[in-house]
Amino acid sequence: MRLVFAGILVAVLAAIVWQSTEIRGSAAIYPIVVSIGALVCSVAFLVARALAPAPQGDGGPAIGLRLPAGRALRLAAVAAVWLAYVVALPYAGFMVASWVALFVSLAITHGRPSLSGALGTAAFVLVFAILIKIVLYVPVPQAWPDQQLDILLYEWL
Amino acid sequence: MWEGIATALSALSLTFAVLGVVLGVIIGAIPGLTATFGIALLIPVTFLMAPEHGMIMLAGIYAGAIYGGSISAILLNIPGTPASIVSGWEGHALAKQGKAPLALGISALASGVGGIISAIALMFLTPTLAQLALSFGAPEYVALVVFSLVIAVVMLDTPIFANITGAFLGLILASVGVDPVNGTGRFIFGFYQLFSGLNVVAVLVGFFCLPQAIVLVAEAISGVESVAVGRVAATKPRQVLAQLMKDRWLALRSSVLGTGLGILPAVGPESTPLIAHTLERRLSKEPEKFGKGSESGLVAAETSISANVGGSLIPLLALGIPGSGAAAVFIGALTLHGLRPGPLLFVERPEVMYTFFAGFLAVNLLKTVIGLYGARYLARLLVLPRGVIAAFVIFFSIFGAYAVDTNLFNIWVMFASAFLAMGLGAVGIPILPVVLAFILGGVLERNLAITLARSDGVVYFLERPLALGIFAVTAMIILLSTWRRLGRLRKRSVEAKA
Repeated sequence: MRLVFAGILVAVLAAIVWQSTEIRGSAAIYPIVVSIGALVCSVAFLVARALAPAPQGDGGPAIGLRLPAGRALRLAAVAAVWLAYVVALPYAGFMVASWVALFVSLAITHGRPSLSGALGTAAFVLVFAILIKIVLYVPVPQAWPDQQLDILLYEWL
Repeated sequence: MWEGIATALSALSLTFAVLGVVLGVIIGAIPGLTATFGIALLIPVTFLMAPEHGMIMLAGIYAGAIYGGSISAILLNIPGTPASIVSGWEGHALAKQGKAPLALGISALASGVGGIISAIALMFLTPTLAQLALSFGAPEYVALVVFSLVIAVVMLDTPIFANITGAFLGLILASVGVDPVNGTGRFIFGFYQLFSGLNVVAVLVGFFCLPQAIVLVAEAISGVESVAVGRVAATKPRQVLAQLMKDRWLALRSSVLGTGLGILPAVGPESTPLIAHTLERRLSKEPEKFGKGSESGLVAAETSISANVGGSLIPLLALGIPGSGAAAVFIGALTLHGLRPGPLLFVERPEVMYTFFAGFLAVNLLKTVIGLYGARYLARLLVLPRGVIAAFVIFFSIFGAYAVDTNLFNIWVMFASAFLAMGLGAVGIPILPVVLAFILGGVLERNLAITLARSDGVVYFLERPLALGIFAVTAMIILLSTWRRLGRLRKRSVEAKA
């Protein structure tokens, strides 16, 4: 996995160097220097690292990548749920998409769905949606339930 | 100035200060969640507040989280944040001797003392430094940014090429968008949304919050349960005060050291307590007690960590250069509120600055009180399951990235940043130089362009002694660091041959 990341890093940096060379005039100097610097240093580091006997990375955020296959699949499923959440937001609206994402994410993490999880997340999303509308004023994507909540709050307040 | 102090002491400001400290302590106490994470996650919450209230709340989160990390370190020997490792050595050893209330009390009071001393330094040093910075031109800013990046690169323990790669990557991220010379799009790969550059908050949330949430999910899936915290007796403030009076000079030394290290870029609260602890061990009459439950060791660690917080805010507010990763995230918050960190802040919005100074002092006083009387109750929150924390962290990260300018594209920027952070973690490139360079990249490029346009050779630089001085110090640091690294390499090769 480390090799894949290293490959992606070098490929992206090479693409950036290429983009820098497309810039014309004096404006090209800074991006060329910075991108070539990044590419050269990353290659130097990765080669030195590959030759070094022991891994030196902090490995912090990448901890999940060392999970056994079954658990890694569950981790990937949680990631997929939240990626799908962003795609679904404009269509399903904030309330439905958020509730489904939270509930499914918790169910996958705990290994089973639970009624308390379903009710708890629904209550949280409802309270947060109300807060968004009357305190935070963040215009979130709307679907039928969000619009109904809007109407309800408008009539009440 | 008095108007600012009065605003800071208003009921509303104090409410936000308490809220910030409590949220910070909770975040810091949960192992795995850091102060940087807390600030990044809660920046969007400050949207609706006046800038000064938002800053006070974020300062409360910063100071509270750094302190909160010690609660789990003392009670469970699990540092809530990396800064609390030394507190765990001393505090947990004290807790095992049945002195948990005393350890928690010392931690709260020493943290308060360190914070208050750094707040006083913040109050007096920042305007002086800002006044000096008003005479800065483009070359001085270039020199200062290069100095900060060099410090970040040479100070970190990770391989030097990894650190330099990180810094260059940050500069690349900062140069996405319209280029300041031609006004044309750069590194946008066909996404018109990138013309305005990468959203700072989205990138920082992606760097600090999402990867941490994924670690929490992985831990929850692996069956790592929440921890059990037993009942802790109430702290006796008199006993704690007596201990701190005994260690008053140690506390003062550690606070000054913490503040000084905080001013340096890249020397965050993580390494500060180790330095303070080592120094005090050498100066102590009972060095053998250090590391085995020494009250003095705990005082040294706590005062220095807390003082580092205030110290890291000094270059941030006076020069626009963050002294730590968390302070770098602070810049995102200031920008969001329309404030430009740097010397002009004192000219344009002095009331905000003085309110913040007084608010930061209040934050540290409140943190002490909350710590002394509430730490044992806040420790109960450690029982929250990791899976639940992770799901809500992901949800709030996404909401925060979206809410910055109600743009769904920012969420993808956040995901990409998280992927980058995890990838860099996997190959061993540290994230701190990336963040510092990302924050400072715009300043560097703009001022470099101005400097190059104005300069007509070496004479121009000779007329800027301050810039030359900073460049000379930077060159010296590079030489010293290279010398030390070469020495280490030589020593290793000699050892290998032997």
